[in-house]
Amino acid sequence: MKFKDFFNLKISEIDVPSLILVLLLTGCGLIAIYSATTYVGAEVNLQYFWKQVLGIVGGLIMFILLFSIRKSFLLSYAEVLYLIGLGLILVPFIISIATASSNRWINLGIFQVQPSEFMKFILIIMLAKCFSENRRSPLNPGYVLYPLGVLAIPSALVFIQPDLGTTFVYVVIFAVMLFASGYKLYYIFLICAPFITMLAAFNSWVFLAWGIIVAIIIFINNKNILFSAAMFIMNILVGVLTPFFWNAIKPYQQQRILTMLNPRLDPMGAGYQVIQSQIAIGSGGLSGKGFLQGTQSHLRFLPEQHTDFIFSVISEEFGFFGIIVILFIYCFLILRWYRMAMTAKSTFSAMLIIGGTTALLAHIFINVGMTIGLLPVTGKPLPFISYGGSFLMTCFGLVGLVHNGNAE
Amino acid sequence: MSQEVKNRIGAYRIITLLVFAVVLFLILIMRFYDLQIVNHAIYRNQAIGNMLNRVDIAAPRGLVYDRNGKKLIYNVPCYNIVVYPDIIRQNPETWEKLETITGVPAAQLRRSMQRNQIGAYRPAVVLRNIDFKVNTRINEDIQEFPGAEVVFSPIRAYAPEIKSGNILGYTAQIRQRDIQQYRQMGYKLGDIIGYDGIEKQYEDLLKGTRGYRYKQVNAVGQPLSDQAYEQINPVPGNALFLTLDHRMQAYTETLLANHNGAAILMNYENGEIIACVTSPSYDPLIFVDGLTQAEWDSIVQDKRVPLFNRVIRGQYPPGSIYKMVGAIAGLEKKIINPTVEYECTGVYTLGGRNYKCSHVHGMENLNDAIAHSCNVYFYNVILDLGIDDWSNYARIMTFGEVTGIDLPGELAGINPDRDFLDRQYGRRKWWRGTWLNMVIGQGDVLVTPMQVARYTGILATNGKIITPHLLKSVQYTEDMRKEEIEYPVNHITNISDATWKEIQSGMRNAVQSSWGTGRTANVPGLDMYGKTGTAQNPHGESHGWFMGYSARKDFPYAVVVFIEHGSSGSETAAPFAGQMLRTYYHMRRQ
Repeated sequence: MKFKDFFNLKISEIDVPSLILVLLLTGCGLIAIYSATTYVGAEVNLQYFWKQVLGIVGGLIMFILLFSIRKSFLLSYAEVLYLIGLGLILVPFIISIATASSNRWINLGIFQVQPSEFMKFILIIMLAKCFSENRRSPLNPGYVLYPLGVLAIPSALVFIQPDLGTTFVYVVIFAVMLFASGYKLYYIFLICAPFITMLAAFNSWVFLAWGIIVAIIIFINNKNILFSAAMFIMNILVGVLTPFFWNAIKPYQQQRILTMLNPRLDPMGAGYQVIQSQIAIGSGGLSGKGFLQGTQSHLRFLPEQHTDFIFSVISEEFGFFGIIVILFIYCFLILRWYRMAMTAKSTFSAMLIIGGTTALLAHIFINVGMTIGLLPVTGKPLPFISYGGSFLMTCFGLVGLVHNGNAE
Repeated sequence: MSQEVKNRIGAYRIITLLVFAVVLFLILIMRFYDLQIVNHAIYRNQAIGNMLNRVDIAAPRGLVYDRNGKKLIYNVPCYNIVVYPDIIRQNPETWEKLETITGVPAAQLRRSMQRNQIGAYRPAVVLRNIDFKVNTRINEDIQEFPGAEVVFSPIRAYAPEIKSGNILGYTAQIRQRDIQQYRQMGYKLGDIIGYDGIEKQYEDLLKGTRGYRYKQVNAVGQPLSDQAYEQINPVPGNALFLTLDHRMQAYTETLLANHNGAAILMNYENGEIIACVTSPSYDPLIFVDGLTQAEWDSIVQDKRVPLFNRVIRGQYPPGSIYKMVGAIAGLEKKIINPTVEYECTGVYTLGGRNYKCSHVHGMENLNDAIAHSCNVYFYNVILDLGIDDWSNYARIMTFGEVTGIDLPGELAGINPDRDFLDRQYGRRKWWRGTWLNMVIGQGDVLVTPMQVARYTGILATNGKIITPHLLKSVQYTEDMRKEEIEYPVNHITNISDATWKEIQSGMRNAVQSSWGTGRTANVPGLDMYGKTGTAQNPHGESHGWFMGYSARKDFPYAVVVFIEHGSSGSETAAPFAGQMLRTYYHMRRQ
């Protein structure tokens, strides 16, 4: 096999507007990183800035790699890639057992690689293959089983690392791809219902109302009384057992879960970060305090400000106007990419586009939602803007994957 | 491409995704709108609060004057070298530079820092009261001394002629062991507070209200720049006017300089204390810079106990000055009348024990017994009177309770009654012989010099119970209003005028007759009354007491002198008392 059999770089197929906007975002990121790593009373340290530039170069290489890799190759070797990906996820486990430390990273000397990042591509490719080649009809409830299995193994491995954020990203990618593939909405509802039931179980009135909704939906949608009854009883059981389980776990474990859901409960830990982030954002106001003028960031009140909380730095210094511009660019890109799925030449291509776009959207929402106190602090960076070469390469790779799906 | 399947993704599902994505972004934008536009003011203030650290500006403590308006305690400008421990740790060469410029060894400066330091980011004083030259040298080239600076802070100064640390008190940084108690009252570590004496008693009036200035800091509290922000100026403490006369106070200090003891000069009509000396005392200035352990030890281990305020905390047997209690009780209970005489043979035998008198006095009536201080007379009185009436009259004369003088830590002495003796020796383990000791002010009776001063006042005024006090008036900083302080006055009503007259006549003879024991206290022209006391004690030579007063309406002053181990009241205490009254009389006439 020749090189040509694997790669096919078609420069003309690159979607120039979206690539320009992505590079614009990385430019914003560089500015923000410069600001976020400049502290009052400390010397200017350009180390982060140049490392990020290096990361962008690496990202572009990653983009070209995933853009030009042949879909036929991806289809043929999806399972192989999947197994390799799983193997890589296990590597940090083995290392951490050997060194008795908690570590998600593989150190390659110059930079560190997080295997769960690469698993995102592989999962998208693998799921795209599953959904496009599934022998069952999406109208059949069993349609979901094989893709669900594909999702479950890496999710479980990442979950016990523990990396809740990445697990969530995997699940979201899967859910959106499942939805887009045409799986019956009713079945999607049946999958989601037990999770909602768990939350509803903590308030008897909410639980009652939710139970009625579940009952109505189940009995409208299905003629098979036995199946419907089984589904309904399962939900009720989950609801009844949840409080028992909750009371059975230790108070500190309860506390940990509650803090995860509401970081304000822990004002010195995650709560501190969110509070300081909100102060930074809120004090930015309409037009911001100006470049390098943010007191929250330059006086080191903001934690992780060049990575997880970079958006707070931008909010503080460039205000609501700056935020609107960046969120519009993101929104424009996401909509533009999702639309590409409509014109894609094959289901597989469309699925690659939807998976890649969803992964980026999930990251944006998780990160921004975290900085404004809407979502728990999971420590996920912001695509194209946060400092970090490994994550930049992931994001550029996802854009490459989207472009690949869009190409002929 | 054969493996690829035609795109069968429904358009409406993609459109749903588009809508979903838009909704997500709208949620984010709404939240940003809420944070940055709607609640901007709240978060802006929080950000300002974050970066601005409130730096306290200590309020100058209130000034303290004597009754003539002479400053007794005041503040003097002082320049101190402070260091920021975290910065100087990174710039150790600053220590050597400071040594060169001040001449104080670097090691000693380091020790001062450790002693005064409160956390790594708060300035710690290393050298106080530097001279002008050092101040300018450092300020001219402040960049040369990273981590150090010169700060202005007023320090407490005391009128140099007065050394009565026990009475005026002193100020110092709150000690570690006191911080819990003071924190509840709004004090902070590093604050200067009054310890002992007036400084402690009137802390609330003297402390003032601290001011603030704001300093930019980072998240770990390091100061960043001295950019000027809003400043709230401190409010100085209120001015106190004491009843003391500084000349009299200084004179009395000198009088007692070579003795351990106490002396009080008091206006018995209103309770104003003109002079109040415990000897030895200490110089309040020694506490200003915090003491080293060695300095502290030398004070604490001083055999003369300079920290001990004998005026209010010294509880001593009163000796014969207590005899008037028995006399009053006897007269009021009709046990004795002024003409009844008892024979004194120099010794009194009870239950096979001998109780001595100072001389063989022969036949003595009450007047003689007081003037001569005859013990045997009072032995007879107490045996007829019984302990209950006696201790009851001691209580009426306010013994066994504090006088309420405005000094911290006053003790109440002991007025032994039946209950006390039961507790002390066990029920029925004591007998009438115990009384004989008590009626002449020995045994279990204990009084403080301040109690004796009030007792003198009561005897001089036919039962007026004043509250001895040092604070005459307060001038409030807020509105410059001057307020005279009122003190409670009570009267003993159940003692007849005839009784007072009899007692006073005895006290008059004690001083003014040529055979009186207190004649060495007599000041011709002042119409002096008084009584000596010689209190035997197990620690050595007897304590000498003298209590007395001038009966002149235009000079209503009582005097109490107590000399530890002063052999007898007439030898040591009485002459001092006379000199004090004479001196003050002439001072007032000037």
